[in-house]
Amino acid sequence: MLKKKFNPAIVFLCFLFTFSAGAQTLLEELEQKIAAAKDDSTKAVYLDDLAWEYTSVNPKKGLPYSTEAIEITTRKGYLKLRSSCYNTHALLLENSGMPEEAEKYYLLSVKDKMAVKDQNGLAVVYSNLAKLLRKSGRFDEGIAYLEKSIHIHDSLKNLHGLGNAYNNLGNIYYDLAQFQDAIDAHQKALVARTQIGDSLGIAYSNVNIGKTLADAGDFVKGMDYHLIGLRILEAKNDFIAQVVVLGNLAAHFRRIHNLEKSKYYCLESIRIAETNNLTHLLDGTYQVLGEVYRTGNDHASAIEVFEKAHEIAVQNQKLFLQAEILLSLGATHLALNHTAEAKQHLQNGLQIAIENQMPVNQFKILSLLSQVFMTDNDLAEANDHLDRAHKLLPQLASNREYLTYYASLIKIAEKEGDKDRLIDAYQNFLAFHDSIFFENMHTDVYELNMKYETEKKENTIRLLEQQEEINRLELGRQKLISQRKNYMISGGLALFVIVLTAGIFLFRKEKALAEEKRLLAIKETEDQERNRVAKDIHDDLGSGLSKIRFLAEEMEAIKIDERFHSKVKAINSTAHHLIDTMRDLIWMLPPANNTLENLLIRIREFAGDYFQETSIKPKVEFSEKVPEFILKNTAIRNLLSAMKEIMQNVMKHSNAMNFSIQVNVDSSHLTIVATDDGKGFDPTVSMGNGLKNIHHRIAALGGKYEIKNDTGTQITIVVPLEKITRK
Amino acid sequence: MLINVGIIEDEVELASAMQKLLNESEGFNCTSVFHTADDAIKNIPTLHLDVVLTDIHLNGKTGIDCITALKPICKNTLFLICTSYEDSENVFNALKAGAAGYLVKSTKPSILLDAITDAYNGGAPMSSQIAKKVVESFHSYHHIAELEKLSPREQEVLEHISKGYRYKEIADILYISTTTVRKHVYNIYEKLQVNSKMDAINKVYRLR
Repeated sequence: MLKKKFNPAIVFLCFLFTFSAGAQTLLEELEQKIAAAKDDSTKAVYLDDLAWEYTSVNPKKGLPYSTEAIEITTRKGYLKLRSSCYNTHALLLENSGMPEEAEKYYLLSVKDKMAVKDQNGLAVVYSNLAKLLRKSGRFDEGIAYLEKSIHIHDSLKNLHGLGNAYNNLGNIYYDLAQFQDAIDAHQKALVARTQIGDSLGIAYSNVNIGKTLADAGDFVKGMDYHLIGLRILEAKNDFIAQVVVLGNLAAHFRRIHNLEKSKYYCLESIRIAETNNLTHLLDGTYQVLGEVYRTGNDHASAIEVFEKAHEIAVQNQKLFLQAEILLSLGATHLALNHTAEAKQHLQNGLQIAIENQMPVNQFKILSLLSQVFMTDNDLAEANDHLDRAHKLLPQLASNREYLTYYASLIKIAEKEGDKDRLIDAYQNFLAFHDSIFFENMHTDVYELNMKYETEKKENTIRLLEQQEEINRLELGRQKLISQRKNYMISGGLALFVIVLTAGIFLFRKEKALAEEKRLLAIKETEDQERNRVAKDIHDDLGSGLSKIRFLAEEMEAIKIDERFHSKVKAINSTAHHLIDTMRDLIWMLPPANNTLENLLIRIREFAGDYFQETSIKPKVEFSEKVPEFILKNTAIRNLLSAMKEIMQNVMKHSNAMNFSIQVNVDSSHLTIVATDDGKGFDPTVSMGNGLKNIHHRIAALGGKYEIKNDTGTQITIVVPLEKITRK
Repeated sequence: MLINVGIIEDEVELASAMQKLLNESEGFNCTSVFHTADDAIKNIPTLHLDVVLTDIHLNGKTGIDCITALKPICKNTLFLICTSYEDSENVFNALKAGAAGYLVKSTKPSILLDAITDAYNGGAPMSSQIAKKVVESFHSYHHIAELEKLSPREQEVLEHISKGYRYKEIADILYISTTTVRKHVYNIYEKLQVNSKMDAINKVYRLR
């Protein structure tokens, strides 16, 4: 079910580090430096650099330079430099399609690095060597080298090298379909890359984790990782990786039969590749797109893109992919009954598959060829090819392929009219069908589940989009309404004339309506203005005052001159007072804070903060469900100030342990009772400024207040609701 | 135990006043002061600071940008946003970006220092207005994984904060210690951050 599949993406990701657009000028510069080099060691260094520049651009062209560099360093005995030249040479050989030679030179590099005790360099070469071995399928050896590399990087704390080594390790485990190990390795790479802030590395690790998760079956989570990676790549303008990642996404979506999404990602990948001259990366993507078209029965388009895919795969020398594309092309042509073309493509594919030992593809191509011959009624050839396919079956060890084989056999036997063979084929077919029935069912359930998960996610997204659309429309509608209001006001005169002629009754009605709308418009502007003012005060005045306070605080600590000191102290306390006042003002301004409940919450919060560093325990109690009243601004300001004044008195004079505020709302009045258990005072004797203040504030709201002194102080404030609420 | 503090503040005098305050107070050490966001983003990753105080409005970039850039790299550093008033939208955005809390610049120096120590010990302040915004935002997150949802206790704590109760009072009401209340608030901040990230990812997804 979780089949290991060759994918160009990761191979490409590995090369991304060395790819650079301004390569041409750098190459010229290096050539000049080589020509001008006065001594051998300088020349060898530049030769090595130049060869290195060719590794990803045009590896074959770099070989003579690295060869010369090796020759010089060997002659002169520069072991350290030679080890680097060997490494470059090996990489050039590797990229030129000569893996055996490359391995030899990597090993030579290892030998030199060991001789000169260059641990860091050794770790890098090990990592490169492992990457090469991975391509040849020698995974165990690769893992062993990477473990050595990781050990060295770890002890040297080379996070960059560590990230790359873990990345390579993850890729090998991915190839081995050991997904959990792969994810672990990629996650370690991600950690190392995150620590040094290597954003591209972070992106690649995310993509690799996403890819592995998707292949391991957690498609939805894999998607998230892909998208994180993609976002970074977009921000960093890394088009190469974007093309590859979008291609990956397209392939994943095809696998879960979401053709629409798959097509979308294919086209997106193609678009970016085309605008950035990266079409050489598109072979895999075109193949996926072709399969999407083929599944949708758009055979003509499928053939067109398959052919593009094939052309690029040939250029890129990707044999496995070529065989797959030729198989797809054959199948598409067969669907159109173009047997001649189908035969040609399949035979080409077959040759590649045989030459490069790809038994699965060989089998698939042979079975399909047999079908093509059958369509042509060439039963002899059909039988012959199916026999050849049959011989491969033991190597494949997959029931699914047996099933394909017997299905083809049934068709041939039917055509031949050979009843014995037909019955035999049927029996075998059924036997294998049964044996893989459960496997099939399991796969189906798995795929259905994935499909369900992605669709669920997409539906949520669609809902969100719709909600957004609704919000947008609603906003537009409100704008339109307010525009109409404006027209109504500005065109008031015109309206007046029309309405006059229309008759006095209609006029009155219309006027009332216009007035209502005008008021609405005013309220809306007012709300906006409130928000704006709150924000402005917040941003400018607020930070200025904080600064004054902070600086004054600093100066207050310096006691040189008593007069100077008391002035600074005054500045400080004024600033403090202003900040507090402003805090209330800012709190009051946004229209959402105008409710009675919010005022009570604010009072509770203030009490908590105000008595925070004292032994007084404040308690502000009001019912869970405060009736929804919008308060007038004057009411908020006066009530808040009165309550603060009361709390100040408690703090300064009462010696109380407990302080409580109880709030009650009935149909006509708001009642606030503030109680403390302090020493109390005689209101007839001492009517201080604070008390006067409270008196004024409550009177301004048309309310009454009462002070009781039994075992402490109790102040009761009663305010009529109609005076403090807004309609 | 010395708390290493860094400051990002574009007002030079204010920055040096804050630095002086910290260095003259026991338990704090402040040698890193940055006046621009770029400078801070470049240097902070190598400094291994315990706490970074950042202003919101810097020249060009904002303190939120700093947190967004630095938080993923500096796992062991706490970022606190400095604000003039606690109810700002900016404060909320900073929390979503990964700030561990906020400091109100205009409070008394002693309270300011306490707030840094509290945040350092895993407790962060939260006002009723911020609590309301947190509740709203959790309602708006679609598909939150079970682990990222607020626990019933966290919801309870949040509910009380949004009703104006302070940590001490909540501790009394819920029969837990203030330390536990702080711990809950700390967890709420963490979840807020995770969810806002998921939200961002969903937004990217939506654009496709």
